[in-house]
Amino acid sequence: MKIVLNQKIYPTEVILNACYMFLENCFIFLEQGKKDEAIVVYFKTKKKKSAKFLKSLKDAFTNELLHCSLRYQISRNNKKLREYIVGRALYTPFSNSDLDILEDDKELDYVDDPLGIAIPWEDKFGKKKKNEKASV
Amino acid sequence: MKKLAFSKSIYKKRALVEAVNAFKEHMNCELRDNGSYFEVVVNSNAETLLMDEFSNYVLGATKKCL
Repeated sequence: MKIVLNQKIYPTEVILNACYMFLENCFIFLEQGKKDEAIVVYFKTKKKKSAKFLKSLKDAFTNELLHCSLRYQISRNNKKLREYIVGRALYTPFSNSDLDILEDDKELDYVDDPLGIAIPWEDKFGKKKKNEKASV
Repeated sequence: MKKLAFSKSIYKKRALVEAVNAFKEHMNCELRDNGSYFEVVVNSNAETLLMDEFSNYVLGATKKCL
């Protein structure tokens, strides 16, 4: 089965994303069409299936194409906003409270364990029961 | 000897190189540049199923390259 798609409507990225969703069920091969703006998608099912299944596969693929187009459009529209948020998160300087925490840490030695993180779970919880039994 | 042609405007070279490396244990293949196409020449008697799996792998790798 083959489907010819116009790249003006469905960019290559959208077609690849849609095809990726169907890799589990069938073998897919893409080819540049005779016209430069066309991409031909060849489908080959992994197991022998009925014509009805192929029809449903084609319908599912066209739906997936629309879904991927929408996601592509949204991603393009929000590109600047995403870049702004990530840029802000990465380049925001330390606040005063963060610096205070760092200064407090300087006084601590690497052996110190004020939060009790270095104590193994067995020492903290496991041996208590044994000791309790021993005392009884 | 069989040949698989992958359009340069659709598939990425990086994806093809990755696929050739991934399948080198199963089939003896070589990547060639042929104008607007990348050609994968399969020297061993690879089954059609394996070739189909190869093209699927290239498609998946190309998608990840985006």
